[in-house]
Amino acid sequence: MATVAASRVEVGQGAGGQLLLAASGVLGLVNLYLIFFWVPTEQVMGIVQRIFYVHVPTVWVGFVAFFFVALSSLAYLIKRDVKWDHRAQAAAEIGVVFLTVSIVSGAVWAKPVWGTWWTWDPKLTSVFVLWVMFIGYLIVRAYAPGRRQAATWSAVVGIIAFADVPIVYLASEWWRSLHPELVAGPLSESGSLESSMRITLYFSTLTFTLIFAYLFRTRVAQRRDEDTMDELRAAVS
Amino acid sequence: MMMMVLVLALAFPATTLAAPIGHEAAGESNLGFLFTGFSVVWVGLIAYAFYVNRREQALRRELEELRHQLADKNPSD
Repeated sequence: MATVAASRVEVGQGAGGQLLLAASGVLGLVNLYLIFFWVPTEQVMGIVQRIFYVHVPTVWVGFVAFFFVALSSLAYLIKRDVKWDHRAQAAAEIGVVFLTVSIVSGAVWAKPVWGTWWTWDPKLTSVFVLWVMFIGYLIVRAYAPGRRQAATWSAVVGIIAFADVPIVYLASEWWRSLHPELVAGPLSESGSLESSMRITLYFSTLTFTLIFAYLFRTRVAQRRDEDTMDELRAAVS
Repeated sequence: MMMMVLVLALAFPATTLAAPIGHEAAGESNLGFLFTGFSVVWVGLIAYAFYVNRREQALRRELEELRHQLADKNPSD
């Protein structure tokens, strides 16, 4: 019986994943063209302002990932279906990666512009708290005594941690902040960004979102495969 | 593996192309920061993609071993 089950297991995510990967690659190349050849250099900050086109999209993907965590965690707590736990874990892991590179790239941009790598400004502080909470999420998963506890406890942490996302987004509107105000989205002022800069920002956001979609699909499939392998291992022993 | 090649192809040409040639641009001395900023993003994503890729390979290997073990144990299945 276990032999039959093992013969049916396929590791990986199939043609859809390859298509996403190819699309991400093509969009990534066009994105680099837009950032380095098409969009004009910003007059005050100069070429270092181009970090903006990776800094903002990566934090956006982090927010989307954490929204997935909260949604999947809620679904897991209601339905107790392990597939929601797989989705929450995959999204949290990828969200932490994207948020980390966004925070570090922001620090690198801040040094020449603000004269410091980091300051405890409301926006930066709230984003740091968000990062710490999702690191905590991963630690809870890693050290929980069993799989069910890991899923339940981390689901609660994921939902609570997500509450910080709107605070990060609105921090520069609510408090006096060194960080620039919103330049994209429904709450931004019209004309806050020149049109070619806006197009490049949106294109870059689409590119990083596709990369997220590919990684998310892959990690969810892996988590499912890991569970199947555990069952097969138990059947063998 | 394909993911790695694609990401590497995207990562490296970028920052060397950033500086305008032939005239002094605003903030040109910040090329090092631009290079670092883009490197951080791409190296971070490449490292994670590498980790995901390694996990997938390990899973494939383990599945093959398991199939062999099961076939040896139950030759009639």
